[in-house]
Amino acid sequence: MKSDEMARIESLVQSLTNGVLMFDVNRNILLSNPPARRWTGLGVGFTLEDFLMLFKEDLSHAVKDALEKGESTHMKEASLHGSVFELVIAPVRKSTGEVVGGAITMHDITSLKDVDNMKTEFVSLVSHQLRTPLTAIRWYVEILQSGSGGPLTEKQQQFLTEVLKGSRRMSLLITDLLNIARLEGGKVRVNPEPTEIVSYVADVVEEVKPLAEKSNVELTFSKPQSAFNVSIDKSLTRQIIHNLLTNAIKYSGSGDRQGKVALNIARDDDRKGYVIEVRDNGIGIPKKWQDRIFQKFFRTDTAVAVDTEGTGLGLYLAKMIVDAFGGDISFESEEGEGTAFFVFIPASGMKKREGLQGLALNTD
Amino acid sequence: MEAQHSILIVEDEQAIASAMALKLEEAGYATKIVTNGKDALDTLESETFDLVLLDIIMPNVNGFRVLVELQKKQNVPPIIVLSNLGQEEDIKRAKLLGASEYLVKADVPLADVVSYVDKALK
Repeated sequence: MKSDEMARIESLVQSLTNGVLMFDVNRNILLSNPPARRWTGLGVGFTLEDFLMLFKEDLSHAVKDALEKGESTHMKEASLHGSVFELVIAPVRKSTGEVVGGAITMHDITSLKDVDNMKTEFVSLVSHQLRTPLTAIRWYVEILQSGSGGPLTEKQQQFLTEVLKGSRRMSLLITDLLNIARLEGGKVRVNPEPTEIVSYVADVVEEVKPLAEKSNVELTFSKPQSAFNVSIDKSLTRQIIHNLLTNAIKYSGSGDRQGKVALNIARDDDRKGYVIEVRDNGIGIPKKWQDRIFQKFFRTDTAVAVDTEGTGLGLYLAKMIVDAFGGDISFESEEGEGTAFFVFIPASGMKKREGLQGLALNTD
Repeated sequence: MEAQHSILIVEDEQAIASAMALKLEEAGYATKIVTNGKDALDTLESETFDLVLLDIIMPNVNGFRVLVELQKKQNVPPIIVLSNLGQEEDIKRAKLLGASEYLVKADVPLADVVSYVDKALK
């Protein structure tokens, strides 16, 4: 005979918009509320196995953790028949604390995911659409500058160069925006591979050397003696270091000081990982702006004075990438003296993340 | 006199196709432009070319489909994909399907396109 309280609770569970299923230690389903029944087709008489079979992901470890260890698992995304659910699989205990079964809560996030997907697809589509006219602009300016349209005056050449610069900047902006959409949508793949990071970073430094030379900046990499082997996603790592180095080069050497950018990798025993440091002697970041430096599109007016064309997305992207792989990014800066950025990579390596896509690459 | 090398340009945007044709002809190549994948496949059936410059996003039959069809044939000329999709997975896919090079149009100077063609035909 059910008590009033039991009846009230059961009524509550039946009225929830989230799906709820309960199962016992023998993995039989004891309860299944209307949404759960609607989504899974399961109720009393079915087993956990029937439930687990419906999902693309393997949820058996979560069930094991609930029944054997009394631990809850929160799955941010699980796919069932083309719908996406957020799941919590938790133990159910008696008043003595003993685990007598488990409960699964299902929250349908399919439409949220759809909107997310649509946004990323939209951005991909727009990026592609924007790149086409941009190509026409770049190529025809190039054609004009090469003389195929007839001889040009020096002024005409100069003006055309301005057009070219603008279009190149737009191209970078498009790639950055595309990457941001993907990172924000949680869609970027993190694919760690065991890598010797000292030599890998050295390669990235080589790529940036021509820019440093052109900007009259002295670029040094103090290679540590030892080899550091960590599981990293090469493409993401390259993107961040490239970003930080080009920033450092751009903002180095305020006034008549020669620009100096130094890169360093060291082991951090306290935090158990490696820190890549990019240090410059440039304009620095004014204290009042320091807490905004990772914000999307944020640029200090001192930065804008040096380079009117920056997108303000580089550090935002770097932070998103670092967050995606489970690392950390921080900095120290003194206005007029210089800035140092620190990227921390845990020794356990970057977290692998299945994603639909990699980053769009800036090849310019 | 050495025979001219001929390039098939597969690109649905007229201005882009013409820009490529202009520079390639200046460099001494003969060019033909088709604006979709189906025409590309038909043309490759009836005429021979030394190289194909292939766009990906085109109406009806797109560049990936062209690559798939060409994989089934013999004596296919080298294919350089020129696209405004730039993602790693697109590049990988194109190369797996037989493209010898993948260039992002919005990022590559026209002069470099000609250099890649020169290199591929050496």
